Amino acid sequence: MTDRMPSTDQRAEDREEVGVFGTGSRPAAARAGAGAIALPEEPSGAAMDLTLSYESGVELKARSQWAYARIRFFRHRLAVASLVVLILISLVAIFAERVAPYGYDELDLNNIASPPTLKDHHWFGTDLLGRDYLSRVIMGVRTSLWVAVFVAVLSTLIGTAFGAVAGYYGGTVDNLLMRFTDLILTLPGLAVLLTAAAYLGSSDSQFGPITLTQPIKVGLILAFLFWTGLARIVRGVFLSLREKEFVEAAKASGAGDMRIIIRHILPNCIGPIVVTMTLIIATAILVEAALSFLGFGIQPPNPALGSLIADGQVQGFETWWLVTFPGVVIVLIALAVNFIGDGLRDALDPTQRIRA
Amino acid sequence: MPDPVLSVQGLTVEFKTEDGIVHAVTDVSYDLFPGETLGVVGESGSGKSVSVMSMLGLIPIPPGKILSGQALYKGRDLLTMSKKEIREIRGGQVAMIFQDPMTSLNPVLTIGDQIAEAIQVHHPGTSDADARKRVIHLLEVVGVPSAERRYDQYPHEFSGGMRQRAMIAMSIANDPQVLIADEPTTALDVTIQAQIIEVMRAAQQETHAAIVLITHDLGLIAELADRVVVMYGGRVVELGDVYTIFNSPRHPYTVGLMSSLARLDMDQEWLKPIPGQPPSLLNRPPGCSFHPRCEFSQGRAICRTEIPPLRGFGEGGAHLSACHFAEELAAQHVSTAPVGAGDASS
Amino acid sequence: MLTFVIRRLLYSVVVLLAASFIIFTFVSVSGDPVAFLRMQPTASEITIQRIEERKHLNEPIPVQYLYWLKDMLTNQFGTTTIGDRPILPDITRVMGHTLQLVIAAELLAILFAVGIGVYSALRQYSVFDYSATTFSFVGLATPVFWLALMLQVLFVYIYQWTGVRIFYVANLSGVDPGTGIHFVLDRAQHLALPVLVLMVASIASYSRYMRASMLEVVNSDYVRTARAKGLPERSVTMRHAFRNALIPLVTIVALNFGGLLGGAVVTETVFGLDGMGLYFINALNNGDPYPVMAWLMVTATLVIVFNLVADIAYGYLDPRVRYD
Repeated sequence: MTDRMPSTDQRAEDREEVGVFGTGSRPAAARAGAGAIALPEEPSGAAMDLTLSYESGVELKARSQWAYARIRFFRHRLAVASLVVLILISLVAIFAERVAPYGYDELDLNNIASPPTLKDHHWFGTDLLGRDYLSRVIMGVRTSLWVAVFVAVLSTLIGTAFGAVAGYYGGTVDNLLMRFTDLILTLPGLAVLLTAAAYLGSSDSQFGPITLTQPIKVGLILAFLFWTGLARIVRGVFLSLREKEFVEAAKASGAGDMRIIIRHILPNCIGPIVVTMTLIIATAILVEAALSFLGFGIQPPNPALGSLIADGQVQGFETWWLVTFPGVVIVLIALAVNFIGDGLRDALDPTQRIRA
Repeated sequence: MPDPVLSVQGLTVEFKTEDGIVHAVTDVSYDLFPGETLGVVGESGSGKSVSVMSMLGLIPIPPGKILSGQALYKGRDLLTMSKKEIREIRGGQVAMIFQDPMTSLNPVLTIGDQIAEAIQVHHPGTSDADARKRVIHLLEVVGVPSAERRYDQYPHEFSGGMRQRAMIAMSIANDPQVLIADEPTTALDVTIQAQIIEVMRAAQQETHAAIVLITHDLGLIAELADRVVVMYGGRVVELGDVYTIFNSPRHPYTVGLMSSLARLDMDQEWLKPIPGQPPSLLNRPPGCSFHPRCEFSQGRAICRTEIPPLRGFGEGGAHLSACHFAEELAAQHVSTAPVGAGDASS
Repeated sequence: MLTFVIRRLLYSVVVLLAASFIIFTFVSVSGDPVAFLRMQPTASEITIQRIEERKHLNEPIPVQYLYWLKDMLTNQFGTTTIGDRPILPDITRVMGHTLQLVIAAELLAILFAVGIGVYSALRQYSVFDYSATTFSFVGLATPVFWLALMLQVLFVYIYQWTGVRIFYVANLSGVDPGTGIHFVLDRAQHLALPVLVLMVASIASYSRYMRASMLEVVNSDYVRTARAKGLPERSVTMRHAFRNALIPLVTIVALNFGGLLGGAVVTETVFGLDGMGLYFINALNNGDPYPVMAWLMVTATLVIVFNLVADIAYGYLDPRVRYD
C-alpha cells in the first residue's frame, strides 16, 4: 500500500467549494475594505466585533481562532443537537445506579418476558428471566461509553506520540511505524481483535498491585489497533510541516526538537486529532459491541450492550425487543458521536466546507 | 471602424452568498474589434474574469445571476442564447485560455486526445486520423517540440510552459474569432512568460483572432495589448488605447497603477503603492468605488454620492474615463514617463 | 509493471512471515489446545501425552513455529490438535462460501454506491442528496451484527404473518436445494439477507467518498476547461468528471476489504452460514492454534492479493501513477 501514490492517505474529505469567483473567502466581514461607512447596525454573520473606520482605514478586532471554531461548530444544528443528546446520555450513564429502575441482574418475577410497556418502568421490556432491559441497557451504555473514551484517549496519546516522532525524525522510527501499520493492515481488523481478545482478554489480570480488569484489557486491545490510524495522520501533518519556514526559523533561534514538536507543529494537528479521536469513540463503541456480542469482548458480570443483544438473541424471536432496543441505543450513540465529529471537522478545518 | 466582433453592453452580474450579495460586475461595457488585442486590467476581485465567464455561460447560475446587459457576438446576444447555441460557440468561435495549466488539463487523458476532442466536438465527423494530424500541426504552431511523440503523453509529463502551450493549441484548434486569455502567464515562471507571449502572438497570427487579454500584469498589457480596459470594483473605470492609458491616464486609479510600477528607465526613490484595500464587493462604498483611496477626490462630496459615468475624451471619444474630475486630472498633466510596447518594465 | 508485482509479492511474504510468527507466539502462549481434553474425566493421560508429542506442544515456541511452518507449506496446513482433522479441505470449503458472500456484496455495493454518489453530487442539496447522506450516516452507525439480527427478526415475522418465505434467515442452502438453476436460486435466497447486511456498511461509506470525490472533480479547473471547449454536459460529466472521480474510490475499496471480511465473520455467525467466519469463531473457541493460524494466513493472503489488484486497477485509471 505504501507504493501507491496516496492522493489521500487519510480519508478523502468532503470538499465543496462555493463557486464564487474572485470574491471573498470567509469570514467576509473581516475583509471589508476601507471606505465602508461605519457600520450602523450589525450585519449578519460574524461581523459583530468589527469597527470599520472610514477615513483611517480598517480597524479590525480579530477574534481568536478558537472563537471562530466555536461559532462554526454551533452553526451545525445537527452537531449541536447530538451534543445535547450525548450529554444527556452521559449523565444517565454516570448516574446509572440512581437512574435505572432496576438492578442489572435483578429479577422482576411479576413481569417475565414482557414487551415494552410503561407499567413498572419496563420501557424496554423484560426477558425470560424477568430482568428489566431498560436498566440493563443503561448499565451497558455506561460501560460502552467509558471503554470507548478510554480507547480513544489512549490511542490518541500513543498515536500522536508515534506519529509525531515518525513524521519529524523520519528514518528508522518512521520505517518501523510504516512496517507496523502495514502488518496490522494486512489482516482484517476484527479478526485480529478477536484473536487478541480470545487469547489475552478473557479475564482479569494481576500485575503486582495493579489489577487490569477485563474491560480495561479489552480497551487496551482495542487501543492497540486503533492508534495506527491516528499515527498516520499525525505523521502526514508532521512530514508536510517539517520543511516549512517557521520550523527553520524556530531552529535558527535555538529551539530544541522537543519544543519545536510540541509548541510549533503539534498545534497544527489539533484539528485532525480531535476529529479522529471523536470518530474513534464511535468506532470503538461499535467494535466493542461486536466483540461482546460474539462472546469475546467484555464478559459478564460486566454489563455490555453487545452481550445484551446476544442474550436477547438466545431467547428467541418472540422477544424481539430484547435485541432491538440495545441496538437502537448503540445506533443513536454512534450517530450522535459521528455528527459531532462532522461538526468538529467543519469547525476546526475551515478549508473544507460541508453544507451546514 | 469595422463592427466589433464582441460587444458587451451594461453587463451586471451578482452572486448570492451566505454573507450577502456580491456585486461582481456592474454595468460593464466594452467592444472588441476584429484582430485587435484588448487588455482587461484590474486587481483580483475587480470583476475582469467574471464579466467574460458570464458571457460564455461558464458561471454557475444558482449562486450567480445575470441581472442585465447584453453580450453581442457578431450581433447575436450570447446571454439570451440557448445552452446548445452557446456550446457551439464556446470552444469553436470563441475560445478560452485559462490561468493554471497544471490543473486545467485533465490528468487522465493524453494531451493529444484532449485537443482532438475540441476539434471533434465542433467538427463532428472528423476522423481520428485527421484530428490527430491537425493536433500535431497545432502543437507545432505553439512550439511544442516532438509534437508527434507528445501527442500521446499525459499532462503530468509536460512542463508548465509546455502545458500552457498545449492549452493555447487547444484554444486555437477551431480557428476562433475571439480568444479570451484569463491570466495566461500568472502561474508561470517569469522566463516562461516571455515565451508564452511569443506563442500568443503566433497564435494570433495563425488565426487572426481578436484577443481579450485579462491580467493584472501591466507588463503583459504593454507587450501585447492594442487597447486597454481598466476595471475596478466590478466597474469599468477607464478605457483607451494602450499608449494613452500608459502615458496619460485619466482616472486616478489608473494613475495610481502606473505610478506604482517599478521602472528601469526612471530614478525612483520610493515605490508608490495605492493606499488602502480593494473594495468589498459585498459592501461597496457609495458613489465612486475608488473614492476612499483616491488622492484627487480630496473629500469632495460628489465622489461619495454619485457614481461617475464613463465619459469620452480625446478625438472621437475613444478614451473613456469614469471620474468626475477627469478634466482636472488631465490639466494637472499627471502622467507617467513614455512607455512603448516592448520596453515596459516587469 | 512485472517488477513491481514481484517486488510487492516478495515484500508481502516477508510481512506474512513476521505477522505469522508474532501471532503464533501469542496464540500458543496463551491458549492451551488440550485444555478441553484435560477437563474431561474420560480422557486418559496417555492420550493427552500423545497429542502433546505429536503436536510438539512441549517444545519452545520458536521450534513449534517452525513445525507449524513446515506443516503449513508441506502438509496442507496440517491438522487440528484434537481429532487430527486435516485443515485444508475445511478451509477450502468455507472459503468458497465466504467468497460468494463477500464478492456479491462488494460488487453490488460498488455499483450502488457509485450511482448514489454520482447522482448526489450532480443533484447537490436535493432531497435525494439529503436522504443519501442520512442513509450513509445511519448506515455507518449501525452495528453489522445488529442489522443482521433485525433483518432476521423482520423476515421471520413476515413469514409468520404471510406464510411466504421471501428470504431465508439461516444456512446456506435449504434441505434439498436441487441442482442447476434451482440450486442457484436457493442459494441466492439464502444469501440475500447476508449480502444485504454487508452491503449497507459498504454503500454508506463508498457513496460518501464517491460524492465527495465527484464534487471535487466537478468543480475542478479541467472540468471548466472541458465546458469551455463546448462539450455537451453529458460528455463533461462522464468522460472528464466521472473517470477522475472514480480514482480515489479504488483506494477506499481496498482499505475497506479488511473491514468487509470482519463484517463477514459476524454476519456468518448470525445467519449460521458455513463460512470462514463461523470456522474462525469455532477455532478460537477451541483454542487450537493450527486452524486459527491457517485461517489468518489465508485471510492475509486474500487481503494482499486484493490490494495488489486494487493497486493495478489504480495504475490503470490514473496514468500519473503507472509503474513502468
